[in-house]
Amino acid sequence: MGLFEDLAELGVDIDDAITRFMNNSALYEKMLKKLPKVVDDSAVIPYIENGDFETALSNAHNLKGVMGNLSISPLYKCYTEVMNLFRAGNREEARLIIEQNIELQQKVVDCILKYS
Amino acid sequence: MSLGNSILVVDDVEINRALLVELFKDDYNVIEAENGTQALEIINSDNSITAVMLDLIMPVMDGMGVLSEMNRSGKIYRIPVFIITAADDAEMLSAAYGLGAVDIISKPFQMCFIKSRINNIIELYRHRNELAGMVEESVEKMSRLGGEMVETLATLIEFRDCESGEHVKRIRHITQILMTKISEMFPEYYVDKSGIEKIAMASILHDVGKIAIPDNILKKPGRLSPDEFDIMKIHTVKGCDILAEMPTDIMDHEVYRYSYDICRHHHERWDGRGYPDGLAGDEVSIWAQVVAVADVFDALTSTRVYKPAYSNEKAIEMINNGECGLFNPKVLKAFNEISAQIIKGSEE
Repeated sequence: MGLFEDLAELGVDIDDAITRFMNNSALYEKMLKKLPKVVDDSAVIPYIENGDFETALSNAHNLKGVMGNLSISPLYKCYTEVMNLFRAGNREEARLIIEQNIELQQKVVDCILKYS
Repeated sequence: MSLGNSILVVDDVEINRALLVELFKDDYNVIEAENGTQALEIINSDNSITAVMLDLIMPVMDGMGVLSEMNRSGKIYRIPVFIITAADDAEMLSAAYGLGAVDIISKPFQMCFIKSRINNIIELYRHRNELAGMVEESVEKMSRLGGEMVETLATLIEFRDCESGEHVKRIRHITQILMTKISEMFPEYYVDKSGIEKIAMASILHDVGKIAIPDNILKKPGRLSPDEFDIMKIHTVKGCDILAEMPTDIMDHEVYRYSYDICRHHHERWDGRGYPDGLAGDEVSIWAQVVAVADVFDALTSTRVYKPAYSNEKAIEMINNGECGLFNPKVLKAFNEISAQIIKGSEE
Protein backbone atom coordinates (compact mmCIF):
# COMPACT_ATOMS: atom_id res chain seq x y z
CA MET A 1 0.00 0.00 0.00
CA GLY A 2 1.20 3.49 -0.78
CA LEU A 3 -0.02 7.02 -0.15
CA PHE A 4 -2.54 7.07 -2.99
CA GLU A 5 -3.99 3.68 -2.07
CA ASP A 6 -4.31 4.67 1.61
CA LEU A 7 -6.02 7.93 0.66
CA ALA A 8 -8.35 6.13 -1.73
CA GLU A 9 -9.49 4.01 1.21
CA LEU A 10 -10.42 7.25 2.98
CA GLY A 11 -12.58 8.31 0.04
CA VAL A 12 -10.09 10.48 -1.86
CA ASP A 13 -10.85 10.28 -5.59
CA ILE A 14 -7.32 9.57 -6.80
CA ASP A 15 -8.28 9.04 -10.47
CA ASP A 16 -10.09 12.37 -10.56
CA ALA A 17 -7.08 14.04 -8.94
CA ILE A 18 -4.57 12.57 -11.38
CA THR A 19 -6.71 13.75 -14.31
CA ARG A 20 -7.03 17.16 -12.69
CA PHE A 21 -3.24 17.32 -12.35
CA MET A 22 -2.75 16.41 -16.02
CA ASN A 23 -1.40 12.94 -15.11
CA ASN A 24 1.37 14.50 -13.06
CA SER A 25 1.16 12.30 -9.98
CA ALA A 26 4.41 13.72 -8.57
CA LEU A 27 2.89 17.21 -8.56
CA TYR A 28 -0.27 15.86 -6.95
CA GLU A 29 1.76 14.22 -4.20
CA LYS A 30 3.74 17.43 -3.70
CA MET A 31 0.51 19.39 -3.26
CA LEU A 32 -1.00 16.76 -0.95
CA LYS A 33 1.97 17.16 1.37
CA LYS A 34 1.06 20.83 1.82
CA LEU A 35 -2.40 19.92 3.12
CA PRO A 36 -1.54 19.32 6.83
CA LYS A 37 -0.36 22.93 7.17
CA VAL A 38 -3.48 24.29 5.47
CA VAL A 39 -5.70 22.28 7.82
CA ASP A 40 -3.63 23.46 10.78
CA ASP A 41 -3.95 27.11 9.70
CA SER A 42 -7.65 26.95 8.87
CA ALA A 43 -9.49 25.71 11.93
CA VAL A 44 -13.17 26.64 11.84
CA ILE A 45 -14.81 25.47 15.06
CA PRO A 46 -12.72 27.62 17.49
CA TYR A 47 -13.76 30.73 15.57
CA ILE A 48 -17.44 29.76 15.64
CA GLU A 49 -17.10 29.32 19.40
CA ASN A 50 -15.41 32.74 19.77
CA GLY A 51 -18.07 34.41 17.67
CA ASP A 52 -15.53 35.34 14.96
CA PHE A 53 -17.74 34.22 12.10
CA GLU A 54 -15.82 36.15 9.48
CA THR A 55 -12.65 34.12 10.11
CA ALA A 56 -14.68 30.91 10.46
CA LEU A 57 -16.24 31.58 7.05
CA SER A 58 -12.92 32.51 5.45
CA ASN A 59 -11.24 29.33 6.77
CA ALA A 60 -14.11 27.09 5.68
CA HIS A 61 -13.89 28.74 2.23
CA ASN A 62 -10.15 27.98 2.09
CA LEU A 63 -10.68 24.34 3.09
CA LYS A 64 -13.46 23.93 0.53
CA GLY A 65 -11.16 25.14 -2.27
CA VAL A 66 -8.19 23.03 -1.23
CA MET A 67 -10.19 19.84 -0.61
CA GLY A 68 -11.80 20.29 -3.99
CA ASN A 69 -8.54 20.84 -5.86
CA LEU A 70 -6.99 17.78 -4.18
CA SER A 71 -10.12 15.67 -4.91
CA ILE A 72 -10.62 14.86 -1.23
CA SER A 73 -14.25 14.43 -2.11
CA PRO A 74 -15.92 13.70 1.26
CA LEU A 75 -14.29 16.75 2.84
CA TYR A 76 -14.98 18.93 -0.20
CA LYS A 77 -18.63 17.93 0.15
CA CYS A 78 -18.48 18.68 3.88
CA TYR A 79 -17.10 22.22 3.46
CA THR A 80 -19.40 22.99 0.55
CA GLU A 81 -22.30 22.22 2.84
CA VAL A 82 -20.72 24.21 5.67
CA MET A 83 -20.43 27.25 3.38
CA ASN A 84 -24.07 26.93 2.34
CA LEU A 85 -25.15 26.69 5.97
CA PHE A 86 -23.02 29.71 6.92
CA ARG A 87 -24.60 31.75 4.14
CA ALA A 88 -28.04 30.69 5.35
CA GLY A 89 -27.04 31.88 8.85
CA ASN A 90 -27.22 28.36 10.26
CA ARG A 91 -23.93 28.31 12.17
CA GLU A 92 -24.83 25.60 14.66
CA GLU A 93 -25.63 23.10 11.94
CA ALA A 94 -22.43 24.09 10.12
CA ARG A 95 -20.48 23.33 13.29
CA LEU A 96 -22.25 19.97 13.57
CA ILE A 97 -21.27 19.00 10.02
CA ILE A 98 -17.62 19.86 10.72
CA GLU A 99 -17.64 17.86 13.94
CA GLN A 100 -19.00 14.85 12.06
CA ASN A 101 -16.11 15.08 9.57
CA ILE A 102 -13.26 16.15 11.82
CA GLU A 103 -12.15 12.56 12.44
CA LEU A 104 -11.97 11.82 8.71
CA GLN A 105 -10.04 15.07 8.18
CA GLN A 106 -7.54 14.04 10.83
CA LYS A 107 -7.13 10.61 9.25
CA VAL A 108 -6.37 12.18 5.87
CA VAL A 109 -3.81 14.50 7.47
CA ASP A 110 -2.21 11.65 9.44
CA CYS A 111 -2.02 9.52 6.31
CA ILE A 112 -0.21 12.27 4.41
CA LEU A 113 2.13 12.91 7.33
CA LYS A 114 2.98 9.22 7.42
CA TYR A 115 4.41 9.47 3.91
CA SER A 116 6.05 12.88 4.32
CA MET B 1 9.57 31.82 -20.42
CA SER B 2 8.09 34.60 -22.58
CA LEU B 3 9.92 37.92 -22.34
CA GLY B 4 8.51 40.37 -19.77
CA ASN B 5 5.32 38.42 -19.20
CA SER B 6 4.34 37.98 -15.60
CA ILE B 7 1.26 36.42 -14.06
CA LEU B 8 0.25 37.52 -10.59
CA VAL B 9 -1.33 34.83 -8.43
CA VAL B 10 -3.23 36.24 -5.46
CA ASP B 11 -4.44 33.76 -2.85
CA ASP B 12 -4.01 33.57 0.91
CA VAL B 13 -3.62 29.78 0.81
CA GLU B 14 -0.13 28.72 -0.18
CA ILE B 15 -1.22 25.42 -1.74
CA ASN B 16 -3.58 27.23 -4.14
CA ARG B 17 -0.80 29.56 -5.21
CA ALA B 18 1.64 26.65 -5.56
CA LEU B 19 -0.75 24.85 -7.90
CA LEU B 20 -1.01 27.84 -10.22
CA VAL B 21 2.74 28.47 -10.04
CA GLU B 22 3.34 24.89 -11.17
CA LEU B 23 0.82 25.32 -13.94
CA PHE B 24 2.29 28.50 -15.41
CA LYS B 25 5.96 28.58 -14.40
CA ASP B 26 7.20 27.23 -17.75
CA ASP B 27 5.45 29.92 -19.79
CA TYR B 28 5.41 32.95 -17.50
CA ASN B 29 7.22 34.61 -14.68
CA VAL B 30 4.78 33.85 -11.84
CA ILE B 31 4.60 36.36 -8.99
CA GLU B 32 2.71 35.56 -5.78
CA ALA B 33 0.74 37.75 -3.37
CA GLU B 34 -0.99 36.64 -0.17
CA ASN B 35 -3.66 39.31 -0.06
CA GLY B 36 -5.22 42.20 -1.98
CA THR B 37 -2.95 44.91 -0.56
CA GLN B 38 0.19 43.07 -1.65
CA ALA B 39 -1.40 42.43 -5.03
CA LEU B 40 -2.14 46.11 -5.64
CA GLU B 41 1.39 47.13 -4.68
CA ILE B 42 2.72 44.71 -7.31
CA ILE B 43 0.17 45.69 -9.97
CA ASN B 44 1.00 49.38 -9.47
CA SER B 45 4.76 48.93 -9.57
CA ASP B 46 5.35 46.10 -12.05
CA ASN B 47 4.55 46.88 -15.69
CA SER B 48 5.21 43.32 -16.77
CA ILE B 49 1.98 41.96 -15.21
CA THR B 50 0.05 40.32 -18.05
CA ALA B 51 -2.77 38.73 -16.06
CA VAL B 52 -4.01 38.43 -12.49
CA MET B 53 -5.41 35.29 -10.92
CA LEU B 54 -7.41 36.46 -7.99
CA ASP B 55 -9.08 34.70 -5.09
CA LEU B 56 -12.08 36.56 -3.68
CA ILE B 57 -12.11 35.75 0.02
CA MET B 58 -8.81 36.84 1.59
CA PRO B 59 -7.64 38.70 4.70
CA VAL B 60 -6.39 42.35 4.75
CA MET B 61 -7.97 43.22 1.40
CA ASP B 62 -10.23 40.82 -0.44
CA GLY B 63 -10.51 40.21 -4.18
CA MET B 64 -13.43 42.63 -4.57
CA GLY B 65 -11.21 45.39 -3.13
CA VAL B 66 -8.53 44.63 -5.73
CA LEU B 67 -11.10 44.63 -8.54
CA SER B 68 -12.61 47.94 -7.38
CA GLU B 69 -9.21 49.62 -7.31
CA MET B 70 -8.19 48.22 -10.72
CA ASN B 71 -11.53 49.37 -12.09
CA ARG B 72 -11.03 52.86 -10.62
CA SER B 73 -7.50 53.19 -12.02
CA GLY B 74 -8.51 51.77 -15.42
CA LYS B 75 -5.93 48.95 -15.18
CA ILE B 76 -8.76 46.43 -15.47
CA TYR B 77 -9.05 47.33 -19.18
CA ARG B 78 -5.41 46.45 -19.86
CA ILE B 79 -4.84 43.48 -17.54
CA PRO B 80 -7.26 40.53 -17.58
CA VAL B 81 -8.32 39.43 -14.10
CA PHE B 82 -9.46 35.85 -13.57
CA ILE B 83 -11.38 35.10 -10.41
CA ILE B 84 -10.32 31.72 -9.08
CA THR B 85 -12.56 30.89 -6.19
CA ALA B 86 -14.40 28.26 -4.25
CA ALA B 87 -17.16 30.79 -3.60
CA ASP B 88 -20.40 30.20 -5.43
CA ASP B 89 -22.33 33.21 -4.17
CA ALA B 90 -24.05 34.37 -7.37
CA GLU B 91 -24.41 37.95 -6.16
CA MET B 92 -20.71 38.28 -5.37
CA LEU B 93 -19.63 36.66 -8.64
CA SER B 94 -21.97 38.91 -10.57
CA ALA B 95 -20.46 41.95 -8.80
CA ALA B 96 -16.97 40.69 -9.76
CA TYR B 97 -18.00 40.55 -13.42
CA GLY B 98 -19.50 44.01 -13.05
CA LEU B 99 -16.14 45.36 -11.85
CA GLY B 100 -14.41 43.94 -14.91
CA ALA B 101 -13.31 40.39 -14.08
CA VAL B 102 -12.82 38.64 -17.39
CA ASP B 103 -13.65 35.09 -16.27
CA ILE B 104 -14.58 33.15 -13.16
CA ILE B 105 -12.92 29.81 -12.60
CA SER B 106 -14.36 27.70 -9.83
CA LYS B 107 -12.32 25.54 -7.50
CA PRO B 108 -11.81 22.67 -7.90
CA PHE B 109 -10.46 23.29 -11.36
CA GLN B 110 -9.04 21.09 -14.09
CA MET B 111 -5.46 22.20 -14.70
CA CYS B 112 -5.47 21.59 -18.46
CA PHE B 113 -8.69 23.59 -18.98
CA ILE B 114 -7.64 26.48 -16.80
CA LYS B 115 -4.35 26.74 -18.68
CA SER B 116 -6.08 26.91 -22.06
CA ARG B 117 -8.72 29.39 -20.90
CA ILE B 118 -6.19 31.70 -19.37
CA ASN B 119 -3.68 31.49 -22.22
CA ASN B 120 -6.39 32.23 -24.79
CA ILE B 121 -7.57 35.34 -23.00
CA ILE B 122 -4.05 36.58 -22.31
CA GLU B 123 -3.36 36.26 -26.03
CA LEU B 124 -6.53 38.18 -26.86
CA TYR B 125 -5.62 40.97 -24.44
CA ARG B 126 -2.09 41.12 -25.76
CA HIS B 127 -3.42 41.50 -29.27
CA ARG B 128 -5.99 44.06 -28.15
CA ASN B 129 -3.37 46.10 -26.24
CA GLU B 130 -1.11 46.05 -29.31
CA LEU B 131 -3.97 47.26 -31.49
CA ALA B 132 -4.90 49.94 -28.95
CA GLY B 133 -1.27 51.13 -29.02
CA MET B 134 -1.30 51.25 -32.82
CA VAL B 135 -4.58 53.18 -32.86
CA GLU B 136 -3.25 55.66 -30.30
CA GLU B 137 -0.11 56.15 -32.39
CA SER B 138 -2.19 56.67 -35.55
CA VAL B 139 -4.50 59.17 -33.86
CA GLU B 140 -1.48 61.11 -32.58
CA LYS B 141 0.08 61.06 -36.05
CA MET B 142 -3.19 62.20 -37.66
CA SER B 143 -3.56 64.97 -35.12
CA ARG B 144 0.03 66.13 -35.75
CA LEU B 145 -0.47 66.02 -39.51
CA GLY B 146 -3.74 67.91 -39.17
CA GLY B 147 -2.00 70.58 -37.10
CA GLU B 148 0.81 70.86 -39.65
CA MET B 149 -1.68 71.19 -42.50
CA VAL B 150 -3.55 73.92 -40.66
CA GLU B 151 -0.27 75.78 -40.03
CA THR B 152 0.73 75.41 -43.66
CA LEU B 153 -2.62 76.74 -44.81
CA ALA B 154 -2.38 79.71 -42.48
CA THR B 155 1.15 80.49 -43.66
CA LEU B 156 0.05 80.39 -47.32
CA ILE B 157 -2.61 82.97 -46.56
CA GLU B 158 -0.02 85.16 -44.88
CA PHE B 159 2.23 84.98 -47.95
CA ARG B 160 -0.72 85.99 -50.12
CA ASP B 161 -1.22 88.94 -47.80
CA CYS B 162 2.48 89.87 -48.34
CA GLU B 163 3.26 88.93 -44.74
CA SER B 164 6.16 86.72 -43.77
CA GLY B 165 4.18 84.00 -42.05
CA GLU B 166 5.32 85.31 -38.69
CA HIS B 167 1.95 86.98 -38.07
CA VAL B 168 0.15 83.67 -37.44
CA LYS B 169 2.89 82.54 -35.06
CA ARG B 170 2.62 85.78 -33.09
CA ILE B 171 -1.17 85.58 -32.96
CA ARG B 172 -0.92 82.04 -31.70
CA HIS B 173 1.59 83.04 -29.02
CA ILE B 174 -0.39 86.06 -27.82
CA THR B 175 -3.66 84.08 -27.84
CA GLN B 176 -2.08 81.35 -25.75
CA ILE B 177 -0.67 83.59 -23.02
CA LEU B 178 -3.64 85.99 -22.97
CA MET B 179 -6.18 83.15 -22.77
CA THR B 180 -4.14 81.53 -19.98
CA LYS B 181 -4.04 84.80 -18.03
CA ILE B 182 -7.78 85.40 -18.44
CA SER B 183 -8.48 81.86 -17.34
CA GLU B 184 -6.42 82.46 -14.18
CA MET B 185 -7.90 85.88 -13.40
CA PHE B 186 -11.56 85.37 -14.26
CA PRO B 187 -13.17 82.04 -13.31
CA GLU B 188 -16.20 82.80 -15.50
CA TYR B 189 -13.91 82.57 -18.53
CA TYR B 190 -12.00 79.47 -17.34
CA VAL B 191 -10.76 77.13 -20.06
CA ASP B 192 -8.49 74.18 -19.20
CA LYS B 193 -4.93 73.85 -20.51
CA SER B 194 -5.87 71.49 -23.31
CA GLY B 195 -8.68 73.82 -24.42
CA ILE B 196 -6.28 76.78 -24.48
CA GLU B 197 -3.85 74.79 -26.67
CA LYS B 198 -6.68 74.13 -29.09
CA ILE B 199 -7.82 77.77 -29.10
CA ALA B 200 -4.25 78.87 -29.82
CA MET B 201 -4.06 76.39 -32.70
CA ALA B 202 -7.45 77.57 -33.98
CA SER B 203 -6.38 81.23 -33.84
CA ILE B 204 -3.96 80.82 -36.74
CA LEU B 205 -6.85 80.32 -39.15
CA HIS B 206 -8.56 83.59 -38.15
CA ASP B 207 -7.84 85.25 -41.52
CA VAL B 208 -8.29 82.23 -43.78
CA GLY B 209 -11.13 84.10 -45.52
CA LYS B 210 -8.66 86.67 -46.88
CA ILE B 211 -7.89 84.20 -49.63
CA ALA B 212 -11.26 85.20 -51.14
CA ILE B 213 -10.44 88.94 -51.14
CA PRO B 214 -9.22 90.37 -54.49
CA ASP B 215 -5.55 91.45 -54.67
CA ASN B 216 -6.41 95.06 -55.48
CA ILE B 217 -8.13 95.38 -52.12
CA LEU B 218 -6.01 93.03 -50.02
CA LYS B 219 -2.74 94.62 -51.18
CA LYS B 220 -3.91 98.21 -51.66
CA PRO B 221 -1.13 100.53 -50.45
CA GLY B 222 -3.52 103.05 -48.88
CA ARG B 223 -6.76 103.53 -47.03
CA LEU B 224 -9.68 101.43 -48.32
CA SER B 225 -12.77 103.16 -49.66
CA PRO B 226 -16.06 102.36 -47.85
CA ASP B 227 -17.03 99.95 -50.66
CA GLU B 228 -13.63 98.26 -50.56
CA PHE B 229 -13.84 98.01 -46.79
CA ASP B 230 -17.24 96.32 -47.14
CA ILE B 231 -15.60 93.71 -49.38
CA MET B 232 -12.70 93.32 -46.96
CA LYS B 233 -15.17 92.68 -44.13
CA ILE B 234 -16.54 89.58 -45.83
CA HIS B 235 -13.27 87.73 -45.15
CA THR B 236 -14.81 86.74 -41.81
CA VAL B 237 -17.81 85.06 -43.44
CA LYS B 238 -15.74 83.65 -46.32
CA GLY B 239 -13.38 82.11 -43.78
CA CYS B 240 -16.30 80.18 -42.30
CA ASP B 241 -17.37 79.08 -45.81
CA ILE B 242 -13.87 77.76 -46.47
CA LEU B 243 -13.80 75.92 -43.13
CA ALA B 244 -17.22 74.44 -43.85
CA GLU B 245 -15.83 72.98 -47.08
CA MET B 246 -12.82 71.42 -45.38
CA PRO B 247 -12.91 67.65 -44.77
CA THR B 248 -14.12 67.16 -41.20
CA ASP B 249 -11.36 64.75 -40.26
CA ILE B 250 -8.52 67.09 -41.24
CA MET B 251 -8.35 68.55 -37.77
CA ASP B 252 -9.44 67.94 -34.21
CA HIS B 253 -13.18 68.50 -33.83
CA GLU B 254 -12.75 71.09 -31.07
CA VAL B 255 -10.03 72.97 -32.96
CA TYR B 256 -12.42 73.12 -35.90
CA ARG B 257 -15.24 74.47 -33.70
CA TYR B 258 -12.96 77.17 -32.22
CA SER B 259 -11.58 78.05 -35.67
CA TYR B 260 -15.04 78.55 -37.11
CA ASP B 261 -16.09 80.81 -34.25
CA ILE B 262 -12.85 82.82 -34.26
CA CYS B 263 -12.93 83.21 -38.04
CA ARG B 264 -16.38 84.72 -37.95
CA HIS B 265 -16.14 86.85 -34.83
CA HIS B 266 -12.58 88.15 -34.46
CA HIS B 267 -13.67 91.57 -35.76
CA GLU B 268 -16.65 91.96 -33.41
CA ARG B 269 -16.32 94.62 -30.70
CA TRP B 270 -17.49 94.91 -27.07
CA ASP B 271 -19.95 97.73 -27.91
CA GLY B 272 -21.50 95.86 -30.86
CA ARG B 273 -19.84 98.08 -33.48
CA GLY B 274 -17.76 95.33 -35.05
CA TYR B 275 -18.60 92.98 -37.89
CA PRO B 276 -19.99 90.81 -39.44
CA ASP B 277 -22.84 90.23 -36.96
CA GLY B 278 -22.57 93.30 -34.70
CA LEU B 279 -22.55 91.12 -31.60
CA ALA B 280 -21.93 92.91 -28.27
CA GLY B 281 -20.40 91.99 -24.89
CA ASP B 282 -20.22 88.31 -24.12
CA GLU B 283 -22.37 87.43 -27.10
CA VAL B 284 -18.92 86.97 -28.57
CA SER B 285 -17.02 83.96 -27.19
CA ILE B 286 -14.05 84.76 -24.97
CA TRP B 287 -11.65 83.09 -27.44
CA ALA B 288 -12.85 85.28 -30.33
CA GLN B 289 -12.47 88.34 -28.06
CA VAL B 290 -8.92 87.27 -27.22
CA VAL B 291 -7.94 86.74 -30.86
CA ALA B 292 -9.46 90.16 -31.68
CA VAL B 293 -7.07 91.87 -29.24
CA ALA B 294 -4.11 89.74 -30.39
CA ASP B 295 -4.88 90.54 -34.04
CA VAL B 296 -5.15 94.29 -33.43
CA PHE B 297 -1.95 94.39 -31.38
CA ASP B 298 -0.04 92.51 -34.04
CA ALA B 299 -1.48 94.64 -36.86
CA LEU B 300 -0.52 97.84 -35.03
CA THR B 301 3.04 96.73 -34.34
CA SER B 302 3.63 95.40 -37.88
CA THR B 303 4.51 97.31 -41.02
CA ARG B 304 1.68 97.07 -43.55
CA VAL B 305 1.42 98.31 -47.14
CA TYR B 306 -0.72 101.19 -45.90
CA LYS B 307 1.09 102.09 -42.62
CA PRO B 308 4.36 101.93 -40.68
CA ALA B 309 4.72 99.84 -37.49
CA TYR B 310 3.81 101.45 -34.18
CA SER B 311 5.93 100.77 -31.11
CA ASN B 312 4.68 98.11 -28.67
CA GLU B 313 3.99 100.80 -26.04
CA LYS B 314 2.06 102.96 -28.51
CA ALA B 315 0.01 99.95 -29.66
CA ILE B 316 -0.90 99.04 -26.07
CA GLU B 317 -1.91 102.66 -25.43
CA MET B 318 -4.08 102.75 -28.58
CA ILE B 319 -5.83 99.49 -27.63
CA ASN B 320 -6.53 100.76 -24.09
CA ASN B 321 -7.83 104.07 -25.47
CA GLY B 322 -10.33 102.30 -27.72
CA GLU B 323 -8.70 103.65 -30.88
CA CYS B 324 -9.24 100.30 -32.60
CA GLY B 325 -12.69 99.69 -31.20
CA LEU B 326 -13.80 98.78 -27.69
CA PHE B 327 -12.75 95.56 -26.01
CA ASN B 328 -13.96 93.68 -22.93
CA PRO B 329 -12.45 95.51 -19.87
CA LYS B 330 -11.54 92.14 -18.33
CA VAL B 331 -9.68 91.09 -21.48
CA LEU B 332 -7.85 94.43 -21.45
CA LYS B 333 -6.96 94.01 -17.78
CA ALA B 334 -5.42 90.61 -18.49
CA PHE B 335 -3.75 91.99 -21.64
CA ASN B 336 -2.08 94.78 -19.61
CA GLU B 337 -0.94 92.21 -17.02
CA ILE B 338 0.92 90.27 -19.69
CA SER B 339 2.00 93.16 -21.91
CA ALA B 340 5.64 92.89 -20.76
CA GLN B 341 5.59 89.21 -21.69
CA ILE B 342 4.09 90.02 -25.11
CA ILE B 343 6.67 92.72 -25.78
CA LYS B 344 9.48 90.38 -24.75
CA GLY B 345 8.07 87.71 -27.07
CA SER B 346 7.85 90.15 -29.99
CA GLU B 347 11.47 91.21 -29.52
CA GLU B 348 12.82 87.63 -29.58
